[in-house]
Amino acid sequence: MSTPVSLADRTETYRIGSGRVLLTPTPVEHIVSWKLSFRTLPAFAEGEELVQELVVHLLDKGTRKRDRFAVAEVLENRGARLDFSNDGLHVRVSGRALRDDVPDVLAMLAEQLREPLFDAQEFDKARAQLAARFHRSMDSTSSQAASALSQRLYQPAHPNFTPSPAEHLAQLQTITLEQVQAYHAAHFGGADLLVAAVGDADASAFVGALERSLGDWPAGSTQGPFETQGAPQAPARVAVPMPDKTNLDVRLGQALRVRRQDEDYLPLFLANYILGGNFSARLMAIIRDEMGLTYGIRSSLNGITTDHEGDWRVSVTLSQDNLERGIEATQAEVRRFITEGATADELDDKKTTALGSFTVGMATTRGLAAMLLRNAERGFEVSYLDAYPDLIEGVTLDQLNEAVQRHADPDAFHLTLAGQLPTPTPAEAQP
Amino acid sequence: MMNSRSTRSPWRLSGLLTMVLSLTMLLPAQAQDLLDAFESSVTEFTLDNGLHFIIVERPEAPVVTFYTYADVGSVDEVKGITGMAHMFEHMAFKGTTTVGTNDIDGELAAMGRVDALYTDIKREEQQLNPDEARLAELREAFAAAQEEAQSYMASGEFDQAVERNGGTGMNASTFYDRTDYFYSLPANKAELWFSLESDRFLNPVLREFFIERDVIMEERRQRTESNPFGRLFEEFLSTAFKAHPYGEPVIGHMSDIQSYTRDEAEAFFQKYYGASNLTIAIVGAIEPAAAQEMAETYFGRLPAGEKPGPVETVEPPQLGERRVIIEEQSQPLLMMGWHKGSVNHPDDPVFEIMADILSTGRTSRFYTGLVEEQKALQAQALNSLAGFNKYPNLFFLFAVTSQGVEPTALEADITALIDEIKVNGVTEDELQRAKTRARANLVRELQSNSGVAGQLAYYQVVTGDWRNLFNRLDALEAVTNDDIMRVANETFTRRNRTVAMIQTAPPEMPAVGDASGDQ
Repeated sequence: MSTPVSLADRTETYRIGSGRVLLTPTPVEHIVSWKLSFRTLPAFAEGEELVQELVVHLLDKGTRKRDRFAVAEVLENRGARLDFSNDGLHVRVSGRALRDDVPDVLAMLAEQLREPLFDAQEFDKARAQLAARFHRSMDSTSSQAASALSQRLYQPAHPNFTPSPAEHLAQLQTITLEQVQAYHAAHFGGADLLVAAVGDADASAFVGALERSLGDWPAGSTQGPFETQGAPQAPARVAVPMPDKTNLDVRLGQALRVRRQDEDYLPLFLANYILGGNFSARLMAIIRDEMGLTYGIRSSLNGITTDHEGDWRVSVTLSQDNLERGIEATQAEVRRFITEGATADELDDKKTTALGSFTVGMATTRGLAAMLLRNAERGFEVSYLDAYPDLIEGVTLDQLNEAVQRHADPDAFHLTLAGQLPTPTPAEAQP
Repeated sequence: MMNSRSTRSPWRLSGLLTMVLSLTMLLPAQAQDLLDAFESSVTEFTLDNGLHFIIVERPEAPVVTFYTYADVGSVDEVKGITGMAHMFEHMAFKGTTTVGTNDIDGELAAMGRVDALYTDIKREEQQLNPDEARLAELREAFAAAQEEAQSYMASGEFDQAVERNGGTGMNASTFYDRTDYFYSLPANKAELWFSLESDRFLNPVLREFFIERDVIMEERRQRTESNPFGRLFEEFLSTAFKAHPYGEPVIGHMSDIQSYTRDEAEAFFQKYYGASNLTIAIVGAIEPAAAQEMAETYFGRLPAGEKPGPVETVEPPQLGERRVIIEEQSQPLLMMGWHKGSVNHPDDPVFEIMADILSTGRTSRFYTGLVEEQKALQAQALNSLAGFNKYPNLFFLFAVTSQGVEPTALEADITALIDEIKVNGVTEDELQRAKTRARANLVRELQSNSGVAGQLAYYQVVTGDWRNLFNRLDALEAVTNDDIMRVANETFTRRNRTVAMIQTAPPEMPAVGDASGDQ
């Protein structure tokens, strides 16, 4: 039996300016997929994340050299794609092109990143589109419950803090085009630029094209201050009343003192899988399958990175009739899990599930590029991905249960809910 | 345990995928070239019981995706049991006579008592003057019987069996005209799938039936009753179809869900889950000969069953425009639909090209004419919907208005854009871009094992040959501007159209003299 060549051995690392390129050739002919990111560090407490979102919105609305249609034409004529996104600390780009078109497409990408047009009309449109999104969120029980929970768990300066849709809307109205331009000038740059490319990438051509287009990109500011820990608040129950929403979204969550690089992370990652990570997890099996109280329930580790801590939360939708019973049953299962721990069988099952997902995730070029980029953003070597299966296999039941005990407290969960609260019966309404 | 060590490099993409990717991106590509490259990796066989298998060998990653396509959906239901196809899909995860139980005989006996008590409750409830005391007794006994039945269960054993062996992505979906079940396993665990999946359709046990009914009622509340889009869509389809069951909701009407019996579900299963009504696609690191041997061993046990006939109800021609307006406090939405033929109608590719030209990409007519002009936040044209194309269906438009824009105004703008095509057709650039994108879409779908499996099974069942996935490119390539103008003029008539919208109702104000108002 031959041993597969490790990912680390197949991946070359190159420097461009102050950035890094990870290049993993695969035998897909002609096509190159890549993921790119750079750190921007907006001042979250000052609402700069929203400014950043507007910048990202405007990146494909034309450059100083060509309007938005000309940009679209450059890409569409080559069957290429560039998608821009923003996750707070980073701006990311996902790209795909034929090998021979890579230089042109990377040049186009650099032009979009470095010289966006920032047309006033396009700015107004982008702002209107974002406003509409916040209006929709105001009507969404899920958005309202999640935002309310984030406000219980974090200070506004934490990247995981989410203003309410109404607050977002109010912030949006105050943002000017000048602010957007200034933010771009200050924060967009080659500091911590990372690129993961997979496919039929000729190293010298790909890296050379990147060097030519982004090698001299000045570093942006990476000074934006942000909180790294959750806010220590007494647990509370917060309701966001929403008329006519008879199905309620409920969130239970608590901040965790753990980061992605900490030893306790992988045990907690597997613990979450056991509690509510998939269909066969405890919450689904008990609250949905055995008790029939909900259609959807899950738990997740949320917003934990190597830069900051995050939280552990349970999300469940409940009808008015099942609201209190569903909450009580969910809280009881969370408490049981934290106090009694997982079993060895559960841990074995979830290890294989986690590793199965990992393998399937790397089976496509785009999946592999995404995994390489995320790994690099965390500051991990490529060899971490090769070691990952062994790291997962190496988590013991004691480590898992001790990590849960160390970090989670059944009495520390905040509870937020959004929707139309059940009308109290006359007896319940008595003082 | 998942095994990441394969005798083949996990990073080598197969020649067929490489060729598909290359040829599709290096335009123009001929469907026949793509098909020739692909076909060499495909093995097909049909078991004696009629179950058809399509195997695609892709050795580059040590995983295999399994996809079971059941040729049954909500169109196969009748009044009173709407949503039963979806209910059975949920029940298919509850295990079998050997998976999910500690004592099958005891469990079946307890389930029998549950069913008998449920029948008694129903009978009593249907009395003109139900005896409340007796009902209370029956309900108490019913709850106790359910508890007893649950005591025999090994809960979640089916899911756990898959998971314990590295299975991922296990799920299922029910549509109007199909139901599918799928997940991936490490390549060395393939036999587990053959064993579990055949058992699932050979010896299903509809355990926790009444609890799962509650789950589905929750699902309906979440997806339809508390969701403006879901509510409007249900109204839209029931208005567009007055005879054909495409007008019934996949999830079923609440009163039907509330009254299903286990017997009804079992009868539905017996009728629609015979081997001859199933098609299975397997894509990944699996040797076809080994797959065939396991298929014969495990799935050969399934009874053929009689292949159910198609839905015979034909939607009569629409005699005039149909409209639905819901007034409520939510985001205004607009839906429009025009009756058209099935996926097998010769004009179906024309509709696909038109949908693309109308709403795909920044250069599309809806984007430039509606989104850019801030009339709509989003506007999408669709040549039908997934699982809604085996029978004559709808060309479908969906739009979310921008703030301050009335859905009626947006409807007028969309109508004008469509009329423009009826009169002047489309440009050659638009036509070519749409054809290019069709090839790109095929490439995207072919990148993942699950995408390939789903598409091959769909084309095999609904069009009669999986090769039509590729042949369709030729049909799209042949579409001309004349075709588009002809089909647009034939189809996009007022008489043939259904329009549904949510208009934002003014907030409720206290009546004059209402004492509850602020003083």
